[in-house]
Amino acid sequence: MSRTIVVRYGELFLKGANRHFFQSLLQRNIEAALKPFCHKIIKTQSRIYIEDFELNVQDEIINALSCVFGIYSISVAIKIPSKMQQLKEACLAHSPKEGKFRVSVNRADPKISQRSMDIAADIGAYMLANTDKLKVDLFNFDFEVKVDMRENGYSYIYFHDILAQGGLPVGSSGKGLLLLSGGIDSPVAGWLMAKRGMRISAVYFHSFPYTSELAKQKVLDLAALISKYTLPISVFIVPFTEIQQAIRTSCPADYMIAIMRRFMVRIAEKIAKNQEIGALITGESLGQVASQTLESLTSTGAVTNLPIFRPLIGMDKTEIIALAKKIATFETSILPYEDCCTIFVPKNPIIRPKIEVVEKIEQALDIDALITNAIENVEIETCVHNC
Amino acid sequence: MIFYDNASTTKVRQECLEELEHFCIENYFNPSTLYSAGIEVAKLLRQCRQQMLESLSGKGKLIFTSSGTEADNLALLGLRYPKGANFVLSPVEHSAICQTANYLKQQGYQVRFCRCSSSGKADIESIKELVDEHTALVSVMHICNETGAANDIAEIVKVVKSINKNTIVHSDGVQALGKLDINLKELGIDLYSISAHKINAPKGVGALFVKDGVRIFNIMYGGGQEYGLRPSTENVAGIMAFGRACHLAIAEREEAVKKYSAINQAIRTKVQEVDAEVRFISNQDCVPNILTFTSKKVRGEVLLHALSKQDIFIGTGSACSSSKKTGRIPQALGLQGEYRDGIVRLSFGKFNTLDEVAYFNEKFEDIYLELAGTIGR
Repeated sequence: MSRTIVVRYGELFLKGANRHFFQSLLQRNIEAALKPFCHKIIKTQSRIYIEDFELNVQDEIINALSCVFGIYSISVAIKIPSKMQQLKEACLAHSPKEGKFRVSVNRADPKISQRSMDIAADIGAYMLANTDKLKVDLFNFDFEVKVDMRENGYSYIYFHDILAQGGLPVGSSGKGLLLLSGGIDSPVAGWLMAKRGMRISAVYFHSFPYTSELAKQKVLDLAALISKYTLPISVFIVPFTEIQQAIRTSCPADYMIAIMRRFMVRIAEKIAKNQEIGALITGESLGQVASQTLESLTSTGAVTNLPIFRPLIGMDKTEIIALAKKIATFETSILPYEDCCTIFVPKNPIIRPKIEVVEKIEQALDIDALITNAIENVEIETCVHNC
Repeated sequence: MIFYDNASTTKVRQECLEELEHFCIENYFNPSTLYSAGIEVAKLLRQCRQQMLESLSGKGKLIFTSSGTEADNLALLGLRYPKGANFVLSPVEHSAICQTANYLKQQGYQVRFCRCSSSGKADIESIKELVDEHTALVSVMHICNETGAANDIAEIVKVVKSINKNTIVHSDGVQALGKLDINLKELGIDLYSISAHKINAPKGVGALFVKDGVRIFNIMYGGGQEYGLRPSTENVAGIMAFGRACHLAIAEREEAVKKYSAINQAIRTKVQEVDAEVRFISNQDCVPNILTFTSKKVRGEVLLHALSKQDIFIGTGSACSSSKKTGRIPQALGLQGEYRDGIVRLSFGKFNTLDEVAYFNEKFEDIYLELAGTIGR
């Protein structure tokens, strides 16, 4: 008899021939998440089992697992050979000593001929016969004894399912480059795409001395926070001051933001292509600010061939904030550093920029030289969550 | 590296390090103990307290605290106020006073702010108008940490007491120690806060002077240290270092002020030459170790970042602190429009030299013109 953590897959069930690829990736990600702990991982057709861990780190292991995308649920179980007498005794030994209960059996082992309902009834009868204060109630029960009889000849007894994040294993859906600012939205956007299996890198545009070192550190902190879910994140820090200066000198104030966003996307695309990253990710939500109107998004998107994923596009701010709180980035996002300097924000930015006008204004700029210079001076930091 | 942010904190001087080492390693005993080594430390602590009081000409108690902020809190929260009492404050008080007063306001007391000049000096006429028979406390900082404006505390005490002799007058003297010739007796002040780390002693030590006859109560509970007003084992090493720094700062004050004046004038001249539109907030009412000005062409924080890249560290005061934005100070100083966020504060200290000024001026000119010229705001 031993303590085991049972990990159940989410959508991987839907996968056909590729299932093995998804399972192996999930196992690798689980191994990465559980690196600090001594343990053994056993992969089977539809479950992963974590065994041989110290009991005092059980909660930490569960916490770590609950941040791994691709896991549907987790249970702490007692593992014993699928022998009826041992099963009955173990169910009784590990159950509360009083209250209303029911027994549910899942029989995945074809070698066992007895029906699940009958096994459940046998176990329940044994428990009733050997205690005074237990009562069976199939509908209004205080606890449920769950017995999962697997094809490996072992049964797993557990009482609770802990719901995890679901989604797909990170790395199963390609790589995306997240445009990460210090705000509330972009970390959430990165998290959502990682949930769909995307491996995330990030790009941050740094305008020193107009934005402070604290603003940069805040972005790195945010990357570290979401790396709890996404695996370590490489952050590409792009010096952006020269470009902003050039835009300010040569372009009308109301078009500054529109043109700035196009530069950001052009630079992100270059980095993405250098790193073999297949998509850009932004935290844009339709209509939230002037640069997120349909026309602004069209103008920004026109400078790249890469798909731009905008997972927050249909969300309200309150919904985004709720997610930011859930993934614990909100408190860092609302630190004031990012808005210390609003120097480049015109009072009345254009809400519906026309591409032909934007392109005409941009003719005053040496776009290629500016982008090349910025990219040559990119710094890269790797951000890892500090448990 | 040039450090022009001495109003925020200072480098610890060698003599203080020696005190720290001695009282951390050799004479580290708890002054409340009954064996001879502890009794000896208690005696040295008593002497230190007495010497500090004497050098400040104070007749009363000196309560050591963990900081100037704690001393301010003890002053405001340690007094007992009747129902319906009001407080009169200068509008540019440090947050340690403003936030504590805000707490008292939430308890139902009234907080009144006097007017101040464009350099942050409290307007005595305005204080006169605000003080009445229900005024329990007036708190006006001796030197404004934002601008260097020196308030005439003796006159304020006189005016306040002539209206209501029961009103307690407190002054936050954190920026004044070592910069002004402080004579607590002549000031007539009831409560006066000071801090160690502004005069080249370590962080973590402050003190509140309580004049004889003024009754305050403890705001923390514990052992009976510091006359029962500030329980907890004394930070002996820090206090002894504070005492040494206090003695030295007072002895060196006149020479230091001359140096600050020279640095101040040289930089002021350069700044004016670089941009005639810069508005100097610090004027003749201010101590020379603080030089605050504001530009409508370059934001204070941007200038701070650009200079820090050259290893020159300046401040913006709490006008745009690193952790929050507040419009309280610019508003009180009457700054309008684009001048509101262009504030920078240079504050000079013991380790600054006249030789550094040429380098600072050169870098300042280059950076300022680049920021103002290429970018504007």
